[in-house]
Amino acid sequence: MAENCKMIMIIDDNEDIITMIKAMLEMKGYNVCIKTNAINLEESLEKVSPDLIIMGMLLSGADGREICKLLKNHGRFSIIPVLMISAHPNAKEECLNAGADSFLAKPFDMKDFFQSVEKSLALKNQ
Amino acid sequence: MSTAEKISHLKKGIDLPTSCQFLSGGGEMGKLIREKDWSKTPLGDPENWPQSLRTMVSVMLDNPFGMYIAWGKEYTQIYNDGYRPILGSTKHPQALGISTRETFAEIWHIIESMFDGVMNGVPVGFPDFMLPLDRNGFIENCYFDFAYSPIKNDDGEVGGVLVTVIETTDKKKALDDLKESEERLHKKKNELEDALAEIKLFKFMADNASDPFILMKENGSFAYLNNIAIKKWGYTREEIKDKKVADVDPVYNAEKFKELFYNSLKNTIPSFETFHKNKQGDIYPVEISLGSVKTEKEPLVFAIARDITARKKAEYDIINAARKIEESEKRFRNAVQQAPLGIAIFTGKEFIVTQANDAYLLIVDRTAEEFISHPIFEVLPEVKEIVEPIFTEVVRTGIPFYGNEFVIPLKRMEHLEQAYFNFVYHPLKDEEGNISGIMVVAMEVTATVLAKHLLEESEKHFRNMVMQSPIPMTTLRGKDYIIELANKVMIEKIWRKSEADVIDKPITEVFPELKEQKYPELLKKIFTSGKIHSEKESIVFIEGNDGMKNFCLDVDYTPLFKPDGKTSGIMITLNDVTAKVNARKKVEEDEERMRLATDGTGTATWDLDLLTGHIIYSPRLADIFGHPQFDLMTHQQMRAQIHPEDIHGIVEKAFDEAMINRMYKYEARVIRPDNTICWIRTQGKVFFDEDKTPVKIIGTLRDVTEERKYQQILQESESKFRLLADSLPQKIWTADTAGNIFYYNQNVYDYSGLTPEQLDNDGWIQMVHPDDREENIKRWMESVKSGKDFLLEHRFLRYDGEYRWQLSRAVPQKDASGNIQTWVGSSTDIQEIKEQEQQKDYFISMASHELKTPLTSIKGYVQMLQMMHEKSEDVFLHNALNIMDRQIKKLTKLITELLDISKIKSGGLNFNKEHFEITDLINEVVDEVKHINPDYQIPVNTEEKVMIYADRDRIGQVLTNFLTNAIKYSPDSTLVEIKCCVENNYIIVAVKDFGIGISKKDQEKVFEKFYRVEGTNEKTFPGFGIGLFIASEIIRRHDGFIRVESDFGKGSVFLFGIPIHS
Repeated sequence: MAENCKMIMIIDDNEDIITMIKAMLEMKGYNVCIKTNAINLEESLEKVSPDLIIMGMLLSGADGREICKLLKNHGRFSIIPVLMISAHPNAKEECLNAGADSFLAKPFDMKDFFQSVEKSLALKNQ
Repeated sequence: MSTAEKISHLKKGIDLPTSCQFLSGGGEMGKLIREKDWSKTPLGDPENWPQSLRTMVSVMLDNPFGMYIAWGKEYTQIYNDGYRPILGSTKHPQALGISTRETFAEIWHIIESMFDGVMNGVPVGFPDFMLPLDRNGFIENCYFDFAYSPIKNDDGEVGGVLVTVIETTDKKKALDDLKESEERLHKKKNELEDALAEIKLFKFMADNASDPFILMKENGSFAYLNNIAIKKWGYTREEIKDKKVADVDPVYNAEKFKELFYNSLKNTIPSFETFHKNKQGDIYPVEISLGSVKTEKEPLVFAIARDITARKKAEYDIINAARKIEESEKRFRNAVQQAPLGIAIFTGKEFIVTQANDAYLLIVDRTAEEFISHPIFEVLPEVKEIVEPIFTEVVRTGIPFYGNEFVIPLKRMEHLEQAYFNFVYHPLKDEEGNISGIMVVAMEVTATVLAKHLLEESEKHFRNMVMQSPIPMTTLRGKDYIIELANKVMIEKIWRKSEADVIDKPITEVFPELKEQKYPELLKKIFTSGKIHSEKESIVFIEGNDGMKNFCLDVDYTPLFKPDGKTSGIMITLNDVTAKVNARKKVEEDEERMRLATDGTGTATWDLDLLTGHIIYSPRLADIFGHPQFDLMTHQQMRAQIHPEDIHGIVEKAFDEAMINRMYKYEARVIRPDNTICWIRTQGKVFFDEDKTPVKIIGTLRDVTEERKYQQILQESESKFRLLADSLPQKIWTADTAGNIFYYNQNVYDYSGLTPEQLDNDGWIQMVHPDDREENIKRWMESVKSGKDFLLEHRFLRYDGEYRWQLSRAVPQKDASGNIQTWVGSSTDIQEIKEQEQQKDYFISMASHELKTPLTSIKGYVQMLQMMHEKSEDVFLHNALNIMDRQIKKLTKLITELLDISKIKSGGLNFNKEHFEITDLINEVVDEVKHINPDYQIPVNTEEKVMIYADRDRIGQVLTNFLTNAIKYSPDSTLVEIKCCVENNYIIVAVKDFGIGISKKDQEKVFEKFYRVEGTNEKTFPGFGIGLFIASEIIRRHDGFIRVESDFGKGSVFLFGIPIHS
């Protein structure tokens, strides 16, 4: 499963959510790296070079939408698909506006989650 | 006389002896004379009568003029048919053959001397002697010229008296007619020229006079008599009503009286003497003083009649002897001057004048010497041409020739003039019956004929005047009211018939419609009474050739009289006042309308003369001032009733101002006599003369007490409202029907810090937050237009610069018929509520976020476990995980709905519209629901694939809601049907269940927030009751509709429709 060798970066401030998503992705064989904040994000991205970023909208000390904008305006990192997740009302619109490639509202079905991940990963290969 | 004798006499008449040939002809009298047994009279048998008598009788019998012979010392009477009426019914036929003494016994003492005089060769005459004769079935006054002339015997002695009588009634009538005609003309002229002249009413009181006082009318009847007159005459007042002057005065018959009457109207008549006859027939002399009176209706003449019997008697005794001589002379002179009947005898072939009486000489204006014994045509050559052929013819044929108004040229007083005669040329026969000459009996009627001509002239003139007059006129003749004369304007304008259809026909035949009206009776009354009758604005219906037409006419009926005082006809003059009356009626109507209008509004009118202080006012004014309507009040009295507090400050001030600006206007209190107060409103205009001096004020006055009362109540109500409104913490405002706000309570000014001027000038919109203005104006105008309540949350700028949320609400105030009068609005400060709500929404938002995050973990792990143990045999594990998954879904739904509510409330419900296939969405949702409710059958009935533009997730949410509700409320059924179709560019999706259904009452509420249908049998259904509220909000935001149809107990259909291309 070549695609399962993909590196997916999870950025969220809620450890339970990170753990759960990490478990789901690992069930499917994806490689996962975790960041609980946006500190040294650039450095981490250089280092890990992920195929997909799964990011919460509201992060402690940071705003996922702002980070998304920065990434999408960064030449090198802009090609990395971003899947944003939030429970917040109106989050979908705002995230998509910020440049996210896809969005998933909490709580989500695992089935939908995997579809979204696969769809987003496919973007990078285009 | 026995029958045998009659026959004998008759035979005698037929077979006259030759010696009695002179008695032939002569009509009735001829017959009587022939039948008379003359042997018993002083004349003896006619055979023995002297030649002169025989000639005269012969002439008499052939003569149409009245002739009478008194022969011999006994004055034995013979007369002809012409004379007979003069003897009346009492003297004829007894008079024939007896003495004048006997026949005229009552006047013999007067005429004896005259007869004696004639017998001595002195003729006498009486001109225009009046005799009332009944010749035509009624008594009429006739006039005669009497001439007494001697008849000479063959021996030259006077044998008897010839009385000739010529009736002059015609002449007299002609003169009277002329006079009447002139009077009529004159009268008509006066009437026309001076129709409106008022005749002064005269009333003469004479009851205390010592002599009889008599007030007489034109026709001789008495308008008034004092008691002395009544007593003197011996009649009762009742009897005298039918009497006339002629009944009490033997001298003044109707004609003479009429003459006197008119004369006295024009001239002052000196006292004169006449005779009065009392009821017993006693005649006594009176001295009359006359005077005339003009009254409204008719002229009257009054007379004071003093009895002068005693005086007369004394006078008579003294002058009696002398008078007799004088009279004799006078009569002689009269006879010469006025002898009416000329008699002449012409004999021989040359017609030599053998005899000619004075009258004849007078006619030919020749002396006896010039005339007698000469051939006539030598003396009167001017008549030869006309008369000679006639003379010759009479002699040749022996037939008398009668001339009537015959023109004969005569040279008189050196002038040749046309003279008119009525005459007989009578052949004279000798003993052998040969015609020996001609006797001419002639009467000159020149004056009569000329008078007639004049009359004709005058009549013609009158006729012309009538015909030319612009006033419609007609004259009706006789008792059949035959139309004699009618002028052009009468025929063309009033009658509207052709002249031939009306002239010489009875008016009632020409206009049968008049018969049904009052006219036959009216005409009869006028004809009988001889009184003038006038009618003003009489309505008459007349059928002309162009149909029936009604006129409004002033009509004058003037009786026309014959000379004898009888009515001969009626002259009718009309004045067509139809237009005038119509115009006046219109004015009256206008006035009436004006009066009604002012009465109807209770407005009084007044007109104050500033120079005299005199005031004229309508009755309503007196009413307002508390007086009976027709009480008269002076201006001062009105002023005195003004409330003392108002008199100087209001009324007098208004008056002073009116003198400057011309408008007089005030409202003040009036104290009525019963001490009640009445508010009046006066409005007037001042009028100035050329010198700019104010002369009058005309104005109106109204009782405005009720109005004032109402205004006061209104003011009180208004001030109460303001007091209340100002004390409210809300902002209160009122707007007119166009949406313009005209009132703000104090709170608005206090809150905004704006002055009334600022609000008036720049409007309330300046208070509204710029972001809210557009929506605000749109919504407000919608309400004003539709009349629906206005409800809006918007932000107002407070005086300190802070915008605060307001909840504004306005409801229209409607009158009884449902028309909007005003809008009353309020704005409540909901800033704090709004803030609390925001906090609540934030809380819900955060809470749902904080709830969803742990739920996400749980859900994720449950689903991972399910996947990991998919192939496990552990049933408990499977069930547990399935239940956990289902409950997580429910929990998720509840949290989503809570969040949606807060989003809707905060306006944060956003939509991401996209194009998608509705049937795909339906199938997805059905699959999902079926996944959770595997027992249910949900057939989908779609016609075709339809692309719509909408928020896919939200529409899915509505569908999920419909389906889960259908399942939830169908505990006893497992079938739910979905139908999808397109109608009028709307996609309609209906979800039908066969569950418990919804009552009508509940159907109206299911889309409300937090509404939950109570289940039957105390069974409740879980949920917040916000699902359908959110669904309806979603559909509303898609410009669609959502509704429910349900039979309680049988099931429901929920459906929504949204535009396909919105």
